[in-house]
Amino acid sequence: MKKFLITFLAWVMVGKIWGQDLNLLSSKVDAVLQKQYSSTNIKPLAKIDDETFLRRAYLTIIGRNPTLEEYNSFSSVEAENKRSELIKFLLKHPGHVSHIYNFWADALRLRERLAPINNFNGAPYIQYIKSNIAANKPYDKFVSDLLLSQGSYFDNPATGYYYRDFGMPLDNLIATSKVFLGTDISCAQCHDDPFQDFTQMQFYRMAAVFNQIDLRKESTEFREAYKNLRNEVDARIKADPEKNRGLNNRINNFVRATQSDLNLALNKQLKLPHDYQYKDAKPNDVVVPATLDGKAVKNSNDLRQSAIEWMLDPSHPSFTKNIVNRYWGFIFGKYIIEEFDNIHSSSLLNSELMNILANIFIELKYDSRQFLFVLLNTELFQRQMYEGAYANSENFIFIGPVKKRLSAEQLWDSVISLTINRPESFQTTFHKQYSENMKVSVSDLNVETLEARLKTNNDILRSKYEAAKRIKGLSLVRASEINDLNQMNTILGQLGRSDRELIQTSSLDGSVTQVISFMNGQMAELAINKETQLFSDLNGKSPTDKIEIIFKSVLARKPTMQEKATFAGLGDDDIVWALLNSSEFKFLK
Amino acid sequence: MKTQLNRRDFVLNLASLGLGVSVLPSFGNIPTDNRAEHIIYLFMNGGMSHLDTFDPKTNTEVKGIFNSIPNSVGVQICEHLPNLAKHGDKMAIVRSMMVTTGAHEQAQYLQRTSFKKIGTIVHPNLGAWMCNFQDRGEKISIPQNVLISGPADHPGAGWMPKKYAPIPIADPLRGLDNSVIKNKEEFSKRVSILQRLEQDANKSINPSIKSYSEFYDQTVRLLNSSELDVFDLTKESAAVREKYGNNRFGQGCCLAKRLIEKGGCKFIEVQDGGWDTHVNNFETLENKLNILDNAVSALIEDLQASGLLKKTLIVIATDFGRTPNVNVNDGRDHHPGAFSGVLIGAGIKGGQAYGKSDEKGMKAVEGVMSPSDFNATIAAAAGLPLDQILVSPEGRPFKIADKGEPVKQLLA
Repeated sequence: MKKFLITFLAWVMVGKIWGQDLNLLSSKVDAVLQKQYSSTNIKPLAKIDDETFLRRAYLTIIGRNPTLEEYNSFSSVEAENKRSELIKFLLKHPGHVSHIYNFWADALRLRERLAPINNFNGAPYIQYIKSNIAANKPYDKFVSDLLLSQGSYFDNPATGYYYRDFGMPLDNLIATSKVFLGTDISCAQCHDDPFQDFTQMQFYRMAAVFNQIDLRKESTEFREAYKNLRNEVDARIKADPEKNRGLNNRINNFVRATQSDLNLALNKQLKLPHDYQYKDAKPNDVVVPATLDGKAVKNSNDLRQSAIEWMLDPSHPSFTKNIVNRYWGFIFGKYIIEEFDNIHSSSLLNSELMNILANIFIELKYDSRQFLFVLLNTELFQRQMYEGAYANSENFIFIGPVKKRLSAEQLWDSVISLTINRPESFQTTFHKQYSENMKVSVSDLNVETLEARLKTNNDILRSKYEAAKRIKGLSLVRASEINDLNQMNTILGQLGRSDRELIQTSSLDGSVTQVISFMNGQMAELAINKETQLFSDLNGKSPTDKIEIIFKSVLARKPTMQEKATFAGLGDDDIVWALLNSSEFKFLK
Repeated sequence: MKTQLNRRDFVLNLASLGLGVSVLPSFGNIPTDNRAEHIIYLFMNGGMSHLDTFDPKTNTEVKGIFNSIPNSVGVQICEHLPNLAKHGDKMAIVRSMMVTTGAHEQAQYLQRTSFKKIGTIVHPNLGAWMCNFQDRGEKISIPQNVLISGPADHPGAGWMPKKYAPIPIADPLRGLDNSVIKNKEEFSKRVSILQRLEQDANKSINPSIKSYSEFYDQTVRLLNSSELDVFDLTKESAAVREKYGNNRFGQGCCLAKRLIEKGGCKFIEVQDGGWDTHVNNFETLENKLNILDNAVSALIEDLQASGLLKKTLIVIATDFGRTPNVNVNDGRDHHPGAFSGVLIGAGIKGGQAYGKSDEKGMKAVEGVMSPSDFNATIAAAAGLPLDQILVSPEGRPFKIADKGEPVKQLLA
């Protein structure tokens, strides 16, 4: 508690840490909204109290409830600007990296089993994304570093962006367009899109830009050594088929995975599909590379370079607005343009709000953390939540953030923060060791060395949660650390986490299995357990204090008089259970 | 100011008019009293050898070591399916299935959804379609779409709302995970505290809070329900359970029967693994066929005894077939060119073998059926509207079996 308080106070005193006057930018955003309120005669919702603000800020910025200790620290601070200081503090909290990682994991479909056909682990790529977030890399650079990545996956895990869609370059292109341009070109893969302006030809010309990418590189030297290795494997199997069961597949898969090296094949040509049906070309014609707007790309060593320049040009209609819309939805519970992966054709694309946000982000040189601060520091973020239904985005006015269920990760992480005091203390770190172990040179191509490497891999992966605390076999780690198929991932799936097959498919829907998990399954078992931080905080306290502690820990607020009366005389377990299952816990307030 | 409809609004407007774009749903040719109201979909994961099951060959190059026997209507099937052979009259064997992919993941997806697996959308399984079409908005406690021993990458409800997704039963012996309340008194006390606490929330106008509390209501109903024991296999007599075989698949089939008898579930998939017989095909299959034979014939007999076979369609489906030529490891490899599927019970014209593969089982040559055609036939047997278009949230239009055509000769 002391440590937190000191860090927090240090923040309060440092005050304006960022050079720009970000407050001014927040008021600019509020001013646009104010205009909408006045012109429509709709009143914005009232401001929220400190307690509500605290929980909302924690959940929105670092993705979990505040712990009891954090609740108490914030309550004890008396400074006029303590809300904006809390925002700054949380933006630099390790939990913020976790939370933003979850945002990207859903969009980029990040998981350890990276692509079905590949046999290597996604952890280095996952770690790459996390460290980009931690370093607050400017967003434009973040995108171009991914799209221009080259070299061995184990040296430059940014190439994971392409390995994620190994063997499916067209799907990868559709993903790039959806995630970074907010433009859905998937229809144009097979036919001209009647709802948009894209033709199948445009799609294929853009695809030709990325067609140079070659994901396997094998030197002649390697091929030679590989031949010898094959002979060695065959001889072993012949000598003792029983003992060497599966050796062939094992060695093959491993060696192929180690040769993951993204390079550019300059002469590779892309052809139109065999059933191309339009008059501007014949089936199987070679495609001339061009960006989506139809401009042929420069003849260079890396055609991607021209595509990136086109995307990052300030005049691009949706590159900046795409991310601005996504961040807005992430903070305020509803996107400005609801069809977030297809903002391209929305009538709101050039609305005043979208324009001003895009300008601010550009002015901040794509500094994501400062931009998020601007949004979080608005009056809007401090208003009560809009609870009603809305028909469509066009007429929607943000009189408050929009009520939303917590995401799967927020639910999990909030329960974890009841069990341990510092939920961020555990971070997976095996990616480094793993990458080193996957670097195989020609001289390593013999069965003995490779079997030893395989064993090391298994050991690394098996022990990845060893340092974490556990309750009932579940590791008490944040959701951002869970990226493979295990028990924790199954629970997260029940809570609505995406399986990361497709872009942003996490869900806030309920389900019977999800509710069972909270009422009678693992979520309840985690929270109601004598080994948790919560129950150790309750130890030796009076019945009234206990009710207070449980309310502060689970809901980050004090109980009302009426609630105190309702809960008097009930067991700790029952109170925790009831609050855990309440809609107040499941929804942002 | 004139507002422009965007694509999503456009399709949602259409959808709100009648859930779909087509106005004249066709309900197949099945008389109402013959339609399958329940489907048990048995999936043989890995690729079931057609030559060693429902499409035996006499050609000695490919025959393998198994012999064939005639079933009750004289159709030849493998000698290791003697019990199923007794039910030839209720069974339509399709011998002319074909797919274009020899990869498990893609082929299984295609079988379950009728659509090719692509990177930008997930298609719903047949069960989700069925539940969606038959959603009357009533409050139910027992989930209608169930997946027993299913894989993690099962397509589930795909792009459809999650309420149509199959509820997973990882292990039939365990039933519905965490559904047993250890202390009923404590549970109802807690629920009543929760209800008091939630009084304000229940008044909420927020649509997502409202629909979330509906799941709470359904779950409390389910957990307190006397019907909950539909998931509990121990409530079946030892004799009944033994008939199905003391193994995961057999017990899965027994649970499927129970879910239909006691729970009225619409669609139950039971998966059986281990059909990927690249090595020791015959040794493996002798055991697997015995399991399949006992489980499915027990299922047929029990459903017939309770009269439910008239309302229940049992399907045997798989990824693809296996190579006619036996490989050096005494195994058979992936073979998409020809394989078999089986339809039993409601909505189906039994007592036949439909379609043909060539003499060696290499290629489907007569009455060739794609997975979409197979699924269209299943959908028709259940009276589901094949032509009705439902629109995904992205605005893409889909039909239950894509471009699949039902095969009339297979339908009752």
